[in-house]
Amino acid sequence: MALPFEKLHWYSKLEVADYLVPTSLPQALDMLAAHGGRARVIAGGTDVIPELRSRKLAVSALVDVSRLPDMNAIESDGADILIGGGVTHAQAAASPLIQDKAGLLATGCGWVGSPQIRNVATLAGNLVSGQPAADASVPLLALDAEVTIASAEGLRVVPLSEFFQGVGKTVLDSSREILTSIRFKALGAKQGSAYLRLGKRKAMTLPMLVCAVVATAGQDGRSIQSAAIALGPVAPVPFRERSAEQFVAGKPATPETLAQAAETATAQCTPRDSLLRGSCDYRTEMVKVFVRRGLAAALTQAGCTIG
Amino acid sequence: MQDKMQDKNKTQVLTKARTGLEHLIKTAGKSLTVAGTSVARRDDPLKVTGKLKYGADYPDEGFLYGKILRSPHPHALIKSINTKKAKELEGVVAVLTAEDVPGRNGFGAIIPDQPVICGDKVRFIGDGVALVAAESEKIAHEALKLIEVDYEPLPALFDPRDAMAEGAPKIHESGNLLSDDKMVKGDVDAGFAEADVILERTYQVPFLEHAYLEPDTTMARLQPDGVMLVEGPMQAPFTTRRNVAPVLGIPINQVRVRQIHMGGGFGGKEDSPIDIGCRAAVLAWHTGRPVKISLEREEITIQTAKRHPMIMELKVGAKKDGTLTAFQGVIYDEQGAYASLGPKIPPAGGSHVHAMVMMPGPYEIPNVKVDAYLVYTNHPYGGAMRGFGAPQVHIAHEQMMDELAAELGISAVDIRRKNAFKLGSATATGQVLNQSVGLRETLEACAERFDWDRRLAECGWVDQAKTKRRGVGVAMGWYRTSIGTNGDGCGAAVHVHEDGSVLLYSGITEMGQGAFTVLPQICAEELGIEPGDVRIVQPDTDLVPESGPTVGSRSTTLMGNAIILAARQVKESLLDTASMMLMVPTERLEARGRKIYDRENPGKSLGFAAVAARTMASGKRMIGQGWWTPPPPSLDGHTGQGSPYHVYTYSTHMVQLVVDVETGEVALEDYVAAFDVGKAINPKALEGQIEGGVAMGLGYALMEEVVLDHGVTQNPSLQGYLIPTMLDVPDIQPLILEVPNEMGPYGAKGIGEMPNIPATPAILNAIAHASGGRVSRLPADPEKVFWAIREAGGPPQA
Repeated sequence: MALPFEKLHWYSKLEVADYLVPTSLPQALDMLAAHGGRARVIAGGTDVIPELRSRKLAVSALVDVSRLPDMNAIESDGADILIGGGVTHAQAAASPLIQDKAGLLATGCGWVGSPQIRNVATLAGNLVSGQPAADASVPLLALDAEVTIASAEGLRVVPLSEFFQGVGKTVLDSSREILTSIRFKALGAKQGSAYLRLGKRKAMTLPMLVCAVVATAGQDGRSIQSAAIALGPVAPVPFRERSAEQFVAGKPATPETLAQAAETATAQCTPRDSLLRGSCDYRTEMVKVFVRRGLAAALTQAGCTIG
Repeated sequence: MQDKMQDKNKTQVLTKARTGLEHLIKTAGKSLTVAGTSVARRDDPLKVTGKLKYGADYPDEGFLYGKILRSPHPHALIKSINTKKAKELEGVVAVLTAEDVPGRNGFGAIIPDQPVICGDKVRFIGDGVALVAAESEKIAHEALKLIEVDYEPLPALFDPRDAMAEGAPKIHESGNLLSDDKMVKGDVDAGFAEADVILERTYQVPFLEHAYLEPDTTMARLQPDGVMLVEGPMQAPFTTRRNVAPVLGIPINQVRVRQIHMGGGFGGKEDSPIDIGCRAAVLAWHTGRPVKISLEREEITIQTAKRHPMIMELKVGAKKDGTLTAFQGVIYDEQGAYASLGPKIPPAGGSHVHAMVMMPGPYEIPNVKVDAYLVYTNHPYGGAMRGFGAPQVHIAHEQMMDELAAELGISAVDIRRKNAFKLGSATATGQVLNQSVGLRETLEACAERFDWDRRLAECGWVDQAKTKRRGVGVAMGWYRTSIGTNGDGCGAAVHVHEDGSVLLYSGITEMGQGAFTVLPQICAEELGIEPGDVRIVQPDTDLVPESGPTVGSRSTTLMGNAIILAARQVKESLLDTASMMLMVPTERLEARGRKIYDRENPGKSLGFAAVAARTMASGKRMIGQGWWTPPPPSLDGHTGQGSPYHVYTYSTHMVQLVVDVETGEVALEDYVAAFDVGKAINPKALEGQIEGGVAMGLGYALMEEVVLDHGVTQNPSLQGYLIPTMLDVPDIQPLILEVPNEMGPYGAKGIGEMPNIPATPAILNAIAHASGGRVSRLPADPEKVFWAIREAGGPPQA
């Protein structure tokens, strides 16, 4: 089998006929519409540019949404937190509100790429790229986030659990739609969270495994009221590990409970043997370790005594 | 934090008082004023402000873009090539195939076995089958797509043992076994018979990419006078010239190779500039126009030389007290598709022979036998990479020493104390080390600074939940200075000007290692002026004397000696002038601090510049020339006995780390690395070499690997090819010991490669100590560590 030409030959110049910078959401949607599916939204560009360079993506125009108004807010109305579509990983990681009320997301955002990447890459872009290893997607899944998508037809709200369709594929079509905001419930009292990541080095590496957990302690402080467990990239899309969640709900917070939950947590894991990301066997073993550790860390943060 | 920074800024040069080395450290002939001081690196301000211009920064105007069509098959015959459509594309100026190479269709640092353009067959994925020059990069790229090549795939070989097997398809006409070398000392059978314990182990290492930050660029211009000018970042401008000339079929003096600023090399830019330099020159030759070839990161990983992978089989015998009695080794050294820097240049040049010589480690062993096979495969090819065969074999012998110590129930430090080289030791080649042997001193200094005994006692579980264990590791190393060939000469010229400023002509290139700071220091020391008075010229084969390549940890020592000889020649002329001006005999004259004065009456002095002006006005010599060649190396072709390299640098590293035994993740906590460097000419720059080298060795241990599947590189970009980040590298404490080299400038010997060599096995030994998991096939990424712990039956429980 001959290796494809594109895997052996490169050239440095990007080919984009037009780079458009709209100043309002309607204008942005009009620009996309005018290109009839051949334009694509760009924000930080940290996924789009490499795709253009490797010729995986060919577009007639890029529509830069980074200057749209009202897209850079991180705010709370008390119960919910709203993150604008233009918020970068650096902003999210440094936000006291997110650190305090969605700690797992702040931690996850801090893991993305390098400072330079985090300064431009947006959370919305992280979601729209639809990569199973996305550091922001997994904690947002555990937070039961929902996203607002704008198109010429209007706005629609989609729960993140229904957002991911496959590797690199989501319900959003970035040739005609724009992700404008992300909304989720702030963590309350008796709630704790954890974000755990396995990589081959301590920074700037795609994860072999990400596990995000939100746990709610029972009133007695010794049991688990509920837990949300999200995993990636051990299947084509990041996902919620519902069987383990159901298993722990209402159970005493003991090492045995956590260990048993970890054993059940591999049901949906279908990692492929990868020369770069590790074998299926290893990553399946690691899912168990991370679910156990993630539950323990989130419960401890929630004020729950494990024993 | 402030304290730590201050501590780090204080360079630690251990003197005899601190190490008890009185018997070894000889006082230098005179006290030094410039050599031995931490002069600030000259290139730093330009680099940190981004003002330094690299090849890719040169304006593109006027250049044609050169591109290489690469083979998509690891091994195939070329049945036909049709370039018609490509030639017809507007903006394409040349599309060249094998028959268009004007001279020899082959290049290589040692053997010209790599076609400039493949004619009949391809031998790895990435082999060049056609060259294009076009008005823009895009057109050149489009033209490549239009070239039609009809291949007949051949069975491909990806394991050196398969390639050695009888009846294996021949990758080159001469056969797949490129070199078969042996080293025999004493009687290994008798040695094993004496042993109380015999261990056998196999260790395996993958291809490594240098990952120098600056991608390769070359620019070739046919000058109006018919001279071919080739410019680029290179470690070996003379080797590039030696290849471009025959490829064009012209004499060497018709090729001019000019060095431009280089952003890292690590051995990789020894032969990648030959590759793209020859190809750009052929395109420039045909088009008559300047041609630039720049490689993208992925192309560098696919196309250029790597560190050789090796499969290493070891058998070691020892007495109960740890005394080694016999060592037997086999190396399957995978050369890949082309010879590059692997094969032997008699008597002891080439990475393969070097690996063989180094394989038993820096230990006294009476009985040794090593069989080393260098084998062609259909993978990318192995070349030079910081250590040149030595890092691989250190990974084997240093892990073996630890496994042996564990088997014997003695400590990892004690087994090394028992066997390490000392003054008068005989190596496995029978070479008696009769000067500058500071290995044991590095072990003791390292153990003291690291506080080995205390740390060893404190290792074990880190947390109550028993998920993480702390361990310590040690490894020793040795590395030659110079390259082991008979032709390892090195020339320099020193030109003093009438205002006292000096131009230093040297062919040694600056790649970040500090040569452009250290070499002027040596020149200034010898002339008695300030380092800032000396400007070193960018190597240009039309200007500088042949200096050999910037490799083999040879620059400071060999070039340093050549500079001293050159400086002394011109200094003689200056002192002669001063003698007449001061009416003082030359023997009484001393030059230092920009003054020439009467040693017996220091008040009687002249400025260096005044003496230079008078010397010039008198028509006397203003240029000194120096040439230094190390003592002739020897290595018997049948027995591997002799003295292959004239002096060695020695080192001991100690590391503390924590292993997450549930996941296999490793976190380094502390690191001490001690070196016997002979003499530190610039201690601060030396520390930089040490820290960078250790980081590189860490990458080899934990994460680096060119992942190949059926000859296809799976991780050509730096997203997939991981090198350590700042967060992976611990605080590194360098310790510098000086056991003078009688043949080095002010006692110096080489240091460029040594730091990265023991780092890898020290870390692997610490992982095994912490977790029980011994990773014998690199890299020790979390998964490999995890399974190694499983294989060991879980972590130690104590």
